[in-house]
Amino acid sequence: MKRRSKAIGASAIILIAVLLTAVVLFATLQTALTNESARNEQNPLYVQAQSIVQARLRQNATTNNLTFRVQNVMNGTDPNARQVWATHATDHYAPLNPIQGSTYAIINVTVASAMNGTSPFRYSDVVLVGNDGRSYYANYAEGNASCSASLAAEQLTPGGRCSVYIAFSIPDGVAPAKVVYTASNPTINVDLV
Amino acid sequence: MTSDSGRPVRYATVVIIALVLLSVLLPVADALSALGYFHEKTYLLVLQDNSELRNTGGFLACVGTIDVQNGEPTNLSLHYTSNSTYANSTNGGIIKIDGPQSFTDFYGTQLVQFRDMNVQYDFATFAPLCAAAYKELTGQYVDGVISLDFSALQELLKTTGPVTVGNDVITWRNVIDRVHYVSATATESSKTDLTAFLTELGNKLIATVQAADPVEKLLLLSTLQTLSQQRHLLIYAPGALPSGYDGAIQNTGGDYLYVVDSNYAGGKADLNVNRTITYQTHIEDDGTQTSNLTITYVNNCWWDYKVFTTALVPNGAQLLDARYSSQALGPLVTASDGLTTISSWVVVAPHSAANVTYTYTLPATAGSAGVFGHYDLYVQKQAGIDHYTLNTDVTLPHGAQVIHESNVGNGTVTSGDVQVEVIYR
Repeated sequence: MKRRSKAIGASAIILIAVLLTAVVLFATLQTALTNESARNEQNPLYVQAQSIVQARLRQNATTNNLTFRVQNVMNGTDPNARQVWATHATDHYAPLNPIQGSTYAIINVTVASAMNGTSPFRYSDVVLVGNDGRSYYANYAEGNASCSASLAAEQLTPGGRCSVYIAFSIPDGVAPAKVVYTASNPTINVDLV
Repeated sequence: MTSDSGRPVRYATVVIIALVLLSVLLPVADALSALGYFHEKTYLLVLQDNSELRNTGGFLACVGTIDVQNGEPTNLSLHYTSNSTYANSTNGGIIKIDGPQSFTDFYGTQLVQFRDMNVQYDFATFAPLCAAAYKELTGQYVDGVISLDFSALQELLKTTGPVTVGNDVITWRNVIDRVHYVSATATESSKTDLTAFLTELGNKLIATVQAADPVEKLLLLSTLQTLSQQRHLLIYAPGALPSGYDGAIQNTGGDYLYVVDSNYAGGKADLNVNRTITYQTHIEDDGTQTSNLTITYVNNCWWDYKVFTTALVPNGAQLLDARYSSQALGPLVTASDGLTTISSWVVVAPHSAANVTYTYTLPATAGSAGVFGHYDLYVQKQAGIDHYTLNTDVTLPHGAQVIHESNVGNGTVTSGDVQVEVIYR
């Protein structure tokens, strides 16, 4: 009888130990999954290139074949930004209604071919750096008809000039701090603040 | 040495153990078969753009095939759903559909383009029709159909982190806009730019998953499970998966509500349209019900949102009244899948709200167990919708008192099905 009680007691202790271990393992796994999820959800930290051309808002920067100027930075809810989309959008694809917890930052960039030849230009090479130090990649771009054609062709014709509006989805509470044109060497860094 | 009288018991035990093992092993074998462990499987892959909502989740942006062998996906091949894509088509890629009646009656046609053929109320009904149409158009047989919508793409990218497609960094924040941009600026009718982009994106996601460590793979499994529950990921693989993955109509008896919307010519609006379903039902003393269903749309876009909306309610419902707060056509009452369907076409002006309200009677749906009455309402979420707000109110027969209730009340924001329950006496 006594041996039986001991066996039951030992079994209970083992069971409790197994349950506790399982709970701890489950909690650890849950934490690992949550951390992994949060890490992957965030945009990558911005790493500045070694060679850069520095510019400020509304100041030209020229590198390779391209002159680049950030004319304006707007919030997607800004009536001016909406007016741009209403004027230029040729279809109902434009993204000025942000996903929950986010906002659209719209930057107006003027790009011009600095030489006689064609200059490659892709709006997706323009990266917005937030005041959280993270890189945000372009969502969408609009311009007038000839500018949209240049964007689609991914190049500016000789002497071509384009005023393009680029939308970036950024989290609420993050402010645009820098615009970087990454396709040139050196890269163009435009400080917004 | 056991007696003869013990033999039947032993045989019965062996049979029971064998049955239990079989019941465990058969689904495992089915799942292994579905994952291509016995021989390679080919699935039709359907990418539904849920920013342009259709009955089964969204506009059919791209379709294609993917092979699965020994659990590894390979040979992803996608193409745009325009009619010119289909070499085998002898009729311009036009598909004849048998229903649902709400669609064929309202639009006065049984002929649709392949890319518009997802007019059935659920993916489980659509998938085999789509597979058959795909075989007719391309000559290719598939073992099943897998659907992903754009919200699923977002969630997968949240799980994997950014991937690089061409020279572009694609994140969960820009993927939907990028796909729309590539589609809008594609120069050819077959939109090879779009299919090339999506194929590379798909292959990069697959490669990222294959290279993932165990924690990341677990996270991915968890994401896939959630996406499936929310019907952003749908899988039709007959015999290979337990039910629940194919988005089938969940009419289990009792009261039932399934609002299915299709946005025809309303643009890529639906991720910016909020829906509220308000359902009030009055259980009469004889058990019959009088119900008010109001579907409210808030259009945050700067263009008109046009929606063909169908409410699937229990069989035998009698529509008493339909009211609209904006331009609308309807109501159209039909029957489908053992349910009564009430359809309307509604226009929601830019940056405004509009609603449609139906009043209808129902035969008794509440049950009773002894002295207790039991009212169940199952509200099914349409595939492709991210979330909606549900308001419910249940008025009980005279003198009845609530013993227990769940999910009754206002302001439930949900991304899945909701089971409403009231026990009373």
